[in-house]
Amino acid sequence: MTRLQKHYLYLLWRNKGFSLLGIMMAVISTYAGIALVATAGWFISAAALAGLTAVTAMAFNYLTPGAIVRGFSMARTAGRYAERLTSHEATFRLISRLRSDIFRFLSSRFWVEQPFDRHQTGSRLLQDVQHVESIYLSAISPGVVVVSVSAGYLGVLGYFLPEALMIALPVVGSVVVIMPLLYSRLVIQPQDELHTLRSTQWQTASSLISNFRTLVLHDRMVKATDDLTTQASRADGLEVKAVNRQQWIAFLTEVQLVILIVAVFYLALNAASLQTLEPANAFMLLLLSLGSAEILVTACPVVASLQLGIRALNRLNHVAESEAEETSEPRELITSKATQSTLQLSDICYQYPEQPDPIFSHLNKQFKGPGWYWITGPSGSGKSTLMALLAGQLSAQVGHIQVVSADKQFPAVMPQSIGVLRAQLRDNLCLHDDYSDEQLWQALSIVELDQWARNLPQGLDTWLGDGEWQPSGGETKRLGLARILLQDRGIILLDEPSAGMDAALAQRLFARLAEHWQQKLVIVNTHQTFLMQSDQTEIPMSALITT
Amino acid sequence: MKDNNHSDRFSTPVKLLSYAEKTARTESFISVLLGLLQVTMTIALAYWVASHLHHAVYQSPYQLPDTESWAYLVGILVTRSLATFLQSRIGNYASIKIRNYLRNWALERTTRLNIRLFPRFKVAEVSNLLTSEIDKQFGYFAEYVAHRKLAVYMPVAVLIAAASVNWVVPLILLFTGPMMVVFMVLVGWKAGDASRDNLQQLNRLGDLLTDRLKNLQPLQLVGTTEQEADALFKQSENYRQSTMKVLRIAFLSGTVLEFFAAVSVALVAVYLGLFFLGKYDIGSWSGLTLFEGVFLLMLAPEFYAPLRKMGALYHQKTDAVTLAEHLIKLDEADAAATKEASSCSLPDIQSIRIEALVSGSGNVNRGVHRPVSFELNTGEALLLKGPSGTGKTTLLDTLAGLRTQVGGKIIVNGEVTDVFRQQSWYRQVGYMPQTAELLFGSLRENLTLGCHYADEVLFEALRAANAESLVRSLPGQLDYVISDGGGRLSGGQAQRIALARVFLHQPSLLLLDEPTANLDEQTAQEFMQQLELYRRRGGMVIMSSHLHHKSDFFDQVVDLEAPASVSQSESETQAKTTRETHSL
Repeated sequence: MTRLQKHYLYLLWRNKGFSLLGIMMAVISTYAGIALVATAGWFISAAALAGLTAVTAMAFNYLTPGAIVRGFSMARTAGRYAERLTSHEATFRLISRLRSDIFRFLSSRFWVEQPFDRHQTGSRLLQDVQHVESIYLSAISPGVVVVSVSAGYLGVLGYFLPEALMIALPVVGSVVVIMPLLYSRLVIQPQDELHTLRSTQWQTASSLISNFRTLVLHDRMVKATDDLTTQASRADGLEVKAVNRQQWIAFLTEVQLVILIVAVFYLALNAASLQTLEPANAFMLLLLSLGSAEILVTACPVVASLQLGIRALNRLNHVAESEAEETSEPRELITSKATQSTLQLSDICYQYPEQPDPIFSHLNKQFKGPGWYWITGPSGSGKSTLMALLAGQLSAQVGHIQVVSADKQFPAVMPQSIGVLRAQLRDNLCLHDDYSDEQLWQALSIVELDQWARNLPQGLDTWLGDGEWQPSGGETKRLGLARILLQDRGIILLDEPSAGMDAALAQRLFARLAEHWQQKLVIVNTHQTFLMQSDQTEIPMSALITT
Repeated sequence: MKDNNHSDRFSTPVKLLSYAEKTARTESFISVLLGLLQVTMTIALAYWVASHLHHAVYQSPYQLPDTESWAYLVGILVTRSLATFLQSRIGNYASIKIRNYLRNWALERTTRLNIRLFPRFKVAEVSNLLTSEIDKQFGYFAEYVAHRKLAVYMPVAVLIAAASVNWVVPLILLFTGPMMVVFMVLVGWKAGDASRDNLQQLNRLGDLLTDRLKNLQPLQLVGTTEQEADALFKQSENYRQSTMKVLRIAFLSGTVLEFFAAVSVALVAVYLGLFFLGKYDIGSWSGLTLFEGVFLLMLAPEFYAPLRKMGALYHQKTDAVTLAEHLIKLDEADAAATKEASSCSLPDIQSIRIEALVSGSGNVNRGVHRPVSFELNTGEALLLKGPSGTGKTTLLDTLAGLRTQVGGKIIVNGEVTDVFRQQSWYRQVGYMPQTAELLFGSLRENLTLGCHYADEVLFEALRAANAESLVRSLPGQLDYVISDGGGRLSGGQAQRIALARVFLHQPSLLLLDEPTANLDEQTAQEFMQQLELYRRRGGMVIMSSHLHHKSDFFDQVVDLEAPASVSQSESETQAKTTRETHSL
């Protein structure tokens, strides 16, 4: 059993109150529904028989069956309502936990080596969570209902008409076990293909919209829309094929149940003619068979839902499991009483997966604070990889990195692309830490964003990010710097911090930062050496690799 | 203006849906017939059971029904299942047809509208609309559409059958039926409001999740992913609470149905039972035997079955209406913005003169930027300057012929020209938007865009754009497939591929929208050097930027923030006159 399956069971166990109540209600209301019709049938036929003579009519106790019928109708109504509420409550409670726990699993890992496809992962995650929902709602709960109805039906049949079991047992067995297995085999198979098709279709659509100008100017729009339509038709075709198969199985199931119903009625009438069964009971058994058949048909998708749910759990587990390789902190944090911070790279070898040559082999270097180190070199010389290693986002295959820090903290890292969360400016700066407004404004003024922030519609409370206020490239970089300023750690790593800023602004900013961070160890990746102050060190990448 | 009456026709989402449903009229008709066949079989089943049970009770000595009778029973039950089966098959095909129609309908509007020019339509939103939102309506068109009619026809059929033997039972059904519908409508209203709120909550949660997955890094770097997971849990719980609020109401409508169905079965049973016991003697046309009793009792639940099925499918309608609402938004924008293009063939561009040009912004005839004038000849470059929001992109779109102009003139080779939607203009224009546009396809497709070029020519263009070694290092080289968001390519690399495309197709006029905004200084410099190459080959360049550029590359600078060369009132009258000439 995988980790996430265990986690699911654990969560189900934690919610056992609601989950069990939901299932119980489902069983009760289904029983009441079937029993209502069956009892009503028995009641009217027994009453009709009793009504034949005045004596039996007078003696007939109609109050009890009347009360039973009314009771069943109430139980069915109330039970159904309670069942739906409790089962959904149980599911949603579980899913809330599962969703945030999966986020926890995902976020415990850095995605530098294998960036994940945003749409693919996002849609998978949302869709898979839905499949997981169906484990309880469409598999466990209806499964229990089907089994209890089968048991109840076979029990009643065995009591009144034992000879009917000869046919009822195999039919119920087939309908409850064999058909669902067949159904799940047919449903599961095209599911993945369909998901791939739909996902490609989305990508084509998204590519069509985002490349609108190019497609129009090159007269490719018609082709692009045709492509999309063709893909959609293929996916639709596959979907219908799958649904047709499902319905075919459902039809076969119904035919088996027809055989069962006819056989039961035949045997019942036969028994009535032999006077071993009351005619009223014959009618009751027929109605019972009809009612039970309606429930037994729903057994078909149960196994498929369970399998889809488990597969979804496994897929999610697969995403989360990559973390089980335990990318534990690759750096070693040494707290020293010394006020000076040091970063020590010893014998570092690193190679990207799927790439023939290592980026670094046996690299040794010490960065000693306080002071600024500017790492320079052309694109592709490994500056960002070095940064990712120092930041702990990548772990070297050989060698180790020691962080000696007076404040007992790992370095603060400003990556090349600054993620802007869809959240308020305040939250984008704090990132779940607590800072006073005063601190925020101070950081903003150092990076010269204070005026910009004051001009935003709601100041610090303005929403940024996708679909909200979108800062420009340069503003985003400065937001990133403001975050680092707030974190105020002993060692600071900056990856291309000035790209997209205009030169005059960058010069002012870095002069100010040089002063502000005088006592810290700062390592910067850059193309723009003109930002260096006179007392700072430049380390060309070429020099670093050859040493 | 064509298609304006379109927006009248689809004033409500339901109208749009029913219009689309017409494409599968035959299927829908057959589906209804099959539904009627089902209910006929149900009535026949009740009849069969009632008459044979009657015999079993009253006939003596009792004789079992003959083989023929049993065959009838099997026939009735199998026909009923078969009708259901065929109905779902037909429904599936109807669903394909209708969804195809809607997809084409939406695509047509998306393309005619140049939807990318409207910032309020987000890429992801439109992509969802064109794909998953329409795909998801499978059930609505496959089941709901036919059942909407059957939910009326089937109960009526049951009612008629019941009325043929008794008048009290149909009355019981007739009373509970409308009451149930009234309750359902009342509850449905409330549920509709609540479910809209809830949908918003769900979208918010989905957005939050995708956003946080996309921007995981800042949180990871600060080490506060735990807190974010907690926040996500809280949002998830909010969603649970709002969903449960909806469900409490929504399930109520189902419960009302259940209640009336159960109560009326009980009522019918008690009525019949007491009748048989001789407690009273009303409601029947001619006495009441067990035959009538069984017949009525078996029909009673069938009266409610179609309505209950409809209740179970109701959520599909809510989804479909949401889809239709989105489609109508698209239709409205389309109807407002569509302008017929006059077709003519334009000469090769030698020079462009722009006089007091003002671009339109979609549906309002209002200028988006100040009137702009300049003149550009082959081999010249122009810089459009100005902070974000001054309309640089809009102006470039207008020059490309993607947007309408509401004022001023574009003069090509000395002649006033309408470049809007002119294929012959498009062929001469290259456009590089802020983020390089790369298709979801192979690198080769991205470069050739349907034209034929030899590989050497492609590599030559790549070399000119300084991207040859990059492409050679990719797996599959020219066959490397660029996926969502550029795949392995960085912003600068994508930009270089896009530039190679320009070198390949050699447009006369190249429009660049902030091409260096997302590049580091060195890459940006390299980019500008390659651009110089293009210009020396005789290309005209118009580039927008909010950064300061070394001005030696550009022959002219137009500042969009600077006060207009034409005064405000003048430009307005000018815009007005152009409008008038347009409408003539």
